[in-house]
Amino acid sequence: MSAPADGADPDVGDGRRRLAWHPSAGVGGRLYSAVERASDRLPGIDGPHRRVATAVMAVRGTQHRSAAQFAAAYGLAEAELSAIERGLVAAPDLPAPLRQLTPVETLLGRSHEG
Amino acid sequence: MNDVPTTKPRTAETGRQRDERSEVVAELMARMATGDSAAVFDLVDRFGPELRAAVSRVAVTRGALLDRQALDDLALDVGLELNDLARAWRPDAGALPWTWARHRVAAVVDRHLGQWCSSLDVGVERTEKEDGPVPSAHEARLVDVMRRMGSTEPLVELLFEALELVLSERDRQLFLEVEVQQALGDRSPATTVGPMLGMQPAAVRQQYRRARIRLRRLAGTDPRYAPLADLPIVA
Repeated sequence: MSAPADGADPDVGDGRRRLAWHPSAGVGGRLYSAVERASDRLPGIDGPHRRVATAVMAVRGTQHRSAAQFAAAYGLAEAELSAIERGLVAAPDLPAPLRQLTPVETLLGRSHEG
Repeated sequence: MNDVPTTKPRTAETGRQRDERSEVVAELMARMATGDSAAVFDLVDRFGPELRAAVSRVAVTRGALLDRQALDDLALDVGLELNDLARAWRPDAGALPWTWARHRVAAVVDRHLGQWCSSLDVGVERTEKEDGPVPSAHEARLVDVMRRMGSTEPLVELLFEALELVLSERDRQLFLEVEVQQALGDRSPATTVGPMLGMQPAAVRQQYRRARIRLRRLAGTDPRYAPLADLPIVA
């Protein structure tokens, strides 16, 4: 877990600008703008990483899965998923299955592998 | 497979699908009520067309046509509003959440549009300046009249767009002429319109019926044109 720098959003990289212009931006682009729009307004996120929490919830929502189903699908403990969705986990600390098997990092506009 | 299905099984299937979708809505609203905010994205993903149509209907009554991006954004906003209201919604009350929360939907649209009001009736102003009725020999074609009306009436503009999308120019004229004759009380509009277009009345009736089906299908499948579904001319 890492704390956000003063004023800066620690979960957004430069990749998000590229995403909007990429030819494959269709549905992913729509989900990206949905995350942008909803991240300040979703209740229940009390940690500093609102955008990470919103992106994970967006992925889970579009997979039509409950928390239990989603956790089982990616080999996570429900408590671990709950912490992520409360905004307590920074993007680099997301479990590998979420980073590698879902578009969460793309939604966060990250290009790093870490 | 028999390619001529009867109406009854199709109707029954549609009813079953509607029940299943109602169950999904109830499940998603229950998840939101228990604090699972991911259900907002689930709702918008599965019921986006319905949410966009609800938004579009309100926008048209405010004299505005929204583009796809605005419809997507506002559909999500409606989802977020429903998330706030989820505890109060009752599935057995019979109304879908976005219908039940129609005032919230209207508030979302108004927030987006800002201050709005009906435009001045340009038609009245124009009539006052004219010296008298236009001679019938110079009567403008309905299509042209409608195009002019579209500049001040968003719903007319939307209807005209839909007509352009699904009908040829001749069929647009046919459709509108038949509608006008019906509105004037003509008991056999096809007989009146046929000679105007050099067609047999039976052909006019057939083309009119097909045109109406195409319009109705468009209004039922494309959220942008959903407000047209409530018009008597389409319904």
